[in-house]
Amino acid sequence: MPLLCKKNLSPLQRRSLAGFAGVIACTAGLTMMVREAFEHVHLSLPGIWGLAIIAATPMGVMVFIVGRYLSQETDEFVRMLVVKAMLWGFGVTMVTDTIFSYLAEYAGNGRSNGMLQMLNIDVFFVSAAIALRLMARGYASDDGRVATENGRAE
Amino acid sequence: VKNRLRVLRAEREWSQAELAERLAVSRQSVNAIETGKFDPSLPLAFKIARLFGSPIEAIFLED
Repeated sequence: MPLLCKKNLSPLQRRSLAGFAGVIACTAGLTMMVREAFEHVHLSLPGIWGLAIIAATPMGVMVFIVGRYLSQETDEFVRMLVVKAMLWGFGVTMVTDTIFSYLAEYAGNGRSNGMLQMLNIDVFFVSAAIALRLMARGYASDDGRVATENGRAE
Repeated sequence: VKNRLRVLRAEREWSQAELAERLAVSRQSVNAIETGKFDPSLPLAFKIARLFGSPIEAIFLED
């Protein structure tokens, strides 16, 4: 059974996933609000700084939730999987951001209008979740020789 | 690091889930350790050794 199948989740995992869902929802809301503000409201420089910082807040909250989860998770193997998934998430996000930034700048695709940066958190969540799922699946099962649930002594 | 976890578990007719419960880890952890894909930390290795009543070196063997 996959590692993150809902029936198997510990209370800590459930709490953390709920936190992630909240962060994703907040990101969507904040992204739309900040974008609207930048597009339609004349802002002073401190206002622009303030909005930019507000837009980045979910990233900070997300790092806090992951940190809290890792510090409270007692299963070292699961901790390792989550750390690996986070690294994959950061890696994919940086690669995606770099490629599309250059494309936007030099390949005649026009300005990115900040959309790339706003999508970073989504790219991160999706890639980390996929990585975690794939790794968990890889560890959860193996060939019949070694992964039998009720294996007998050889 | 090789280990005899699967053999010891099977001798006691425990499933991976049962062993995981006794060790307070996930079944995936037990599977990963048994298949040699994951080496447990010293505290977990000691816990495993205590559970099976054997010294660590009798469970975990050098490659």
